[in-house]
This record gives sequence, C-alpha cells and structure tokens, in this order.
Amino acid sequence: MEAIKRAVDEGFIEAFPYESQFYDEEHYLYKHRADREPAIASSLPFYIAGPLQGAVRKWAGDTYALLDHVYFETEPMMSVQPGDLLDFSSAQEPEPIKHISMKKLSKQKIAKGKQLISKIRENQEKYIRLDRDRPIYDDAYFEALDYLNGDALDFPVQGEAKIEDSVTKFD
Amino acid sequence: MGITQLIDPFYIDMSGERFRDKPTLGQLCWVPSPQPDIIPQIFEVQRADPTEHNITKFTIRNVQETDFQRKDELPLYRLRLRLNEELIIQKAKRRPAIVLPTTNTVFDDVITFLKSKGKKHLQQDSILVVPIFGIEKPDHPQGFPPIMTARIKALMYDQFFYCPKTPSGMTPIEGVARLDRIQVIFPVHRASYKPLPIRLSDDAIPILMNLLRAWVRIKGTTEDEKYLKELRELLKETLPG
Repeated sequence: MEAIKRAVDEGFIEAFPYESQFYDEEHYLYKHRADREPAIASSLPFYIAGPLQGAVRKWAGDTYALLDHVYFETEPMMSVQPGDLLDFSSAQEPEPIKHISMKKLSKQKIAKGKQLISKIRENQEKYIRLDRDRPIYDDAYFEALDYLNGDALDFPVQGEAKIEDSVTKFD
Repeated sequence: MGITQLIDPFYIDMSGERFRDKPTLGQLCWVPSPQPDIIPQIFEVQRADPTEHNITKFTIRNVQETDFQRKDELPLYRLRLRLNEELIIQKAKRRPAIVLPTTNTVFDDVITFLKSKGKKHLQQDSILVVPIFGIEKPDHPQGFPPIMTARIKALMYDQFFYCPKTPSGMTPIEGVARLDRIQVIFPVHRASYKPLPIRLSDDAIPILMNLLRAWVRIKGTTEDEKYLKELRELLKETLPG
C-alpha cells in the first residue's frame, strides 16, 4: 500500500474514492492515465459499445454477482473442470426474451369471470375456515415449545468436507 | 393479464393490522426454501476418533440404498445423530412464500406425557408455505419462461399459481407460487419465517385453495368443479393462438 500511496503522491497514478456496496470503509480506485478510454472505444459501432458499457456498468463494483453470472450463466463455464482451457467459441449471444401478449377479455367476459370467482369464493367459505381460534399462548405453551424444539446443538461443528466425484450435480 | 384481469385487488395491505401475531391464510412471508434434489445427497459424518465425539471429517455423496440402515456405526452424540439416521444436505434460497396455516391442536397434558416418554417431535406448531419462484427476466434467465407464465396466468396448471407484482410501497414480489414445492415451517424464529404486511385478497385465496384441492386430487363439490372448469375455459381465451 505504501508503494501505491507513493505512486499517487508522485503523480504516476491517480486515486478516485468510491463507495462500496458491501463495506463502509473508504475505498479507492487507482487508475493510470493510459487506463483512460482508449481511442478504439470511440470507433466501436454502437451495437457493440452500448452492450459493453451496459455490462461494465452492471457488474462494476459487484465482483460476487459477476462471478455468479460467469460461473453459472455463461457457455464457456458449462461443464468445465479445474484446469480446463475455456472454449469461448461456445459462447452465444443471449436470445432476447420473447414477450408473449395475452389477449384481453371483453367486458362481458370479465364480468362473467368475476361472477365465477365470486361463486367460487362463496362456495369455499362454506368449507374453509379463513380464520382460526387463537390457541392459548401462555408461559406453559412457550416452555413446552422450548422443550419440543429440543436441545440446541453444540454449534459450530467444524471440519473438512470432501465432495465425492460421483455426486450428482445440483440443477 | 389472464387471472389478474378478473381479480382486483389481488393483494390486501395488512400494515395496519398486527400481522406478526399469527400466520394468516394467504399472507406473504420470507422463508429459507430448500431445493429438493432428484437424488438426495448425504452429508456423511465420520468421527475423528472412535473414542470421542468431535467430528472433523465429512463427505458429500449421493444417497444409497444402504443408507438409513446403519447399525454398525457409533451414534454421534454431538449431532444427536442416532442409528438409522443420516444428515441430508440441500441447496436452499430465501424466497417469498404464501402462508397456508394449519391447525395443530396442542394439549398441555399431552406435552407432559410426551416429555416423559421423550417423544417431543409429535406435537409441534407448524404451518405450510407455498414458495414463490421468479419468472424469466434478462437478469433472471432461470425463471419461468414467458410461454409457461402465460399458461399459469390462465390457470392451466394445478400446481402453479401466478402472483402479480405487489403494489408499489410494499415488498416487491412477482412470480409463481409452486404448490409442488410446498413446505413445512415452524414460525417461531424470524430467520426461518419473516411475515410480511400483505396477503392475497379474499378473491385470490379461493382460487389458490381450489388449485391446491385439485393438485392433491381431492374432489370438490359439484359446484367447485363446475366453476373452476368454466373459469379455466374463459381464461384459455386469453392465451395467444
């Protein structure tokens, strides 16, 4: 840190304070002049520069969410093992979510539907108790509940866990 | 659209009520929601030393037919793990959920009896909750895809119930309540059950309860069956061709 501080003091790099989403302490982002947006950025077509800037804005400052996205939602990381070379040719442009427009019911049909719901509600009120009597929540109840919940385990239990190769992957 | 065209309001604000006092039918809450695996996974515990109860070695593995029959291993006092018992490990997520209260009758004298017999798990205060899963969005690609969401909004699945976005000013929740992931909760600790000041409206609750009835294959009254069928026929018309 001392070397960084000296580099800032001597003007080799610049320090920009920023507010972390995760910690209250003061944080700095260090940049060299050469880090400024390279000339190529302005020559990129908008359809590349736009999503790129969007991605930088989305993930900047949230390394955990970025890694979660990269690990679980990107093609090169699917089914890789530690030490594998990542195959970026498998990366695909995300398909836009297809919006499905549902049809609007006519006024008459809406009235009919509301009438059906009203009938279902009336019919159900005969069979289902929406409310229940309040049980007796006194000292005896809570003492008993404590007992029923059993003795607390002597946590934490610490140790090393091994995951067998044959374990079926989640999802 | 779909069912939301017919139910208005879908939610009722409970913030003026004592919403933490007791779990209310249709009330929303936050719960840790486990994801059941097709092949359950065992968190196998081994003693560091047979003469002591400290445990330092664990193995995560698929469940085997020979599990739950352990008779040749020492019980693990520190984990209260007895013969024929195993630890199951599951992935879980904190999710919003809909409360389905149950009425567990608890008698003080029976508690005393159970206490003396050590059968303390037979009377506990529990509720059922239906966890709500997200729908597909650019930042949530693993959610319910639009075609399924549209069908769910048209009440085509017994096991899924669409929950529209909660009104502004309330906890933002939108998704699909999954009856096929219904779970038991002990509403005694805020970390395991956090009630929210909002519930389904009196028109929305009977629809959810009718889906539950249909899903567990309980035949309703003739009227129940007729009305639900007619409602579904009507909502089918909201689906794109």
